[in-house]
Amino acid sequence: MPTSPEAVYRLVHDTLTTKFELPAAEIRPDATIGELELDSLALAELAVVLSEELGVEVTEEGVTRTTTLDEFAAGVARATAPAGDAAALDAQ
Amino acid sequence: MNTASAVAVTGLGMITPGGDGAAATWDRVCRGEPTAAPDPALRGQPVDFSCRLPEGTDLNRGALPRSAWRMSPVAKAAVSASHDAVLDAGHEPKSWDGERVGIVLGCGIGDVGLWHDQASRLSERGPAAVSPLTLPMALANMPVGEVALALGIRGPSLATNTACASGASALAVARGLLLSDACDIVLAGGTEMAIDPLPVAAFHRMGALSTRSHDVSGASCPFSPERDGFVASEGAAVLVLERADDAASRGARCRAILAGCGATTDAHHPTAPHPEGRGAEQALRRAISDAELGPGDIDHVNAHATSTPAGDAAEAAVISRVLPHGPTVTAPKGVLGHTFGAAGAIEAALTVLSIESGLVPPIANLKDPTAGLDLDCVTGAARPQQIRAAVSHSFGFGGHNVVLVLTSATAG
Repeated sequence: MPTSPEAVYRLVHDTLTTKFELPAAEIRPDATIGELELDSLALAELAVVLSEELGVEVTEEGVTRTTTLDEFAAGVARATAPAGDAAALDAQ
Repeated sequence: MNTASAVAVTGLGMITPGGDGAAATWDRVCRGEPTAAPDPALRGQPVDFSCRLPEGTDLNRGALPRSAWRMSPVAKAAVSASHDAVLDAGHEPKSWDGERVGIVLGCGIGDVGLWHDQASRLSERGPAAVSPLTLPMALANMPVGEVALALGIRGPSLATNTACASGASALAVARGLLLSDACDIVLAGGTEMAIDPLPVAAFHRMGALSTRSHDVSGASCPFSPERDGFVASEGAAVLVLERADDAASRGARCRAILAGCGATTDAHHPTAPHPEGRGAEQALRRAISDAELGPGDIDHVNAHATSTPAGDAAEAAVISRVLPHGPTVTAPKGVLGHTFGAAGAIEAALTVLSIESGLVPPIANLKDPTAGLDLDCVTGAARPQQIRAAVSHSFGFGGHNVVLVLTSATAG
């Protein structure tokens, strides 16, 4: 089931505020993984939560300290879409 | 004992079903009001009651920002109790020399609920569904690691596991660290948050739990002829220990002296106590002699008494045999239930408070203190008593026996 980058972002936002107990004010589309102090363990746990919610395998591969939440959400959204739809999402 | 080798208790932190904090716990224990209640998490099980932390207990105090998500409740309870203890002792972790600070915490079970959940995920959804946090949250040493992180403790650290004596073992090991000069300050205690359907079912299957569903608040009744097993509980306690001379030179309040420790092993049966309490008796004798005292010097006993028929009988026999002069006896598990790996630390903290305030809490649910026992059990209301020296007993599955001697900081 393809999920839009906006919907993935909302899910990431909610997960970071509830499960990870981060202050909502810090969670912005341009906030980076490094700024939020999400270490490799936190990213791995986030990937497990997102995989479960979205029904696809989400990995933390390619995510670095400078990746923004926007970029992260877009990458996860691509993973939820069949190949053709992913291209369409990229074009958006 | 010479003061150079005296180990002082300078701070206490407790989170128990009796209350969120040492003062609230002490009040509840002194009132003798049981905390056992029906437990929705155990609904449908043969034993569906337990002693839970009060609603609204703050398990996040003292936690580093952005750390709460990765901590199991058993670590959070330890961090919060440590925070309270360090504050109580008047230490400032931001400025202390962390390499001279140690930590030893008992934990008997760890986050068994997490193992249980992750095992279900593994069997139902496969290895990719297993949380990468499983080990950092569930291992029994991680409360130690998280407290060290939160407080900048960089000296010796370890978790002790002697089942239900783990918290007392932690205090004994911590005292040794100070006496061997491995560090100058040690946080010592115990933590356990293991009320989960799996261990509760397992304890019940081995016949260890009370099944008094018709009288839940009366279920934990140490030394009572009606006792039929213990009630599962949860909590944490941490004590700050330092050499008495160091405490005096920084002007700290010395709340009591951890004057001696004795540890032995039954080597009799995996879980049943030795019928005459042979190992327990030796631990008690060794602790008293380690404190350079005689049996007649012991004014008060904080008993392990979990409310099991065999365990309480063996312990009562040991007390009558070794301490025939009749020191007062209390048994906090009547109020608090059995907090497993935390129990020894919680009871040591309560013993400190008894010595400091001159008050012995009553044994909850013990109606006739003379029934079949040759002990001076305190019942009904708390009893004022000047206590110079007290012992706190802890015994665990595996045949572990640990006895601590605590003495008054003021009585010479």
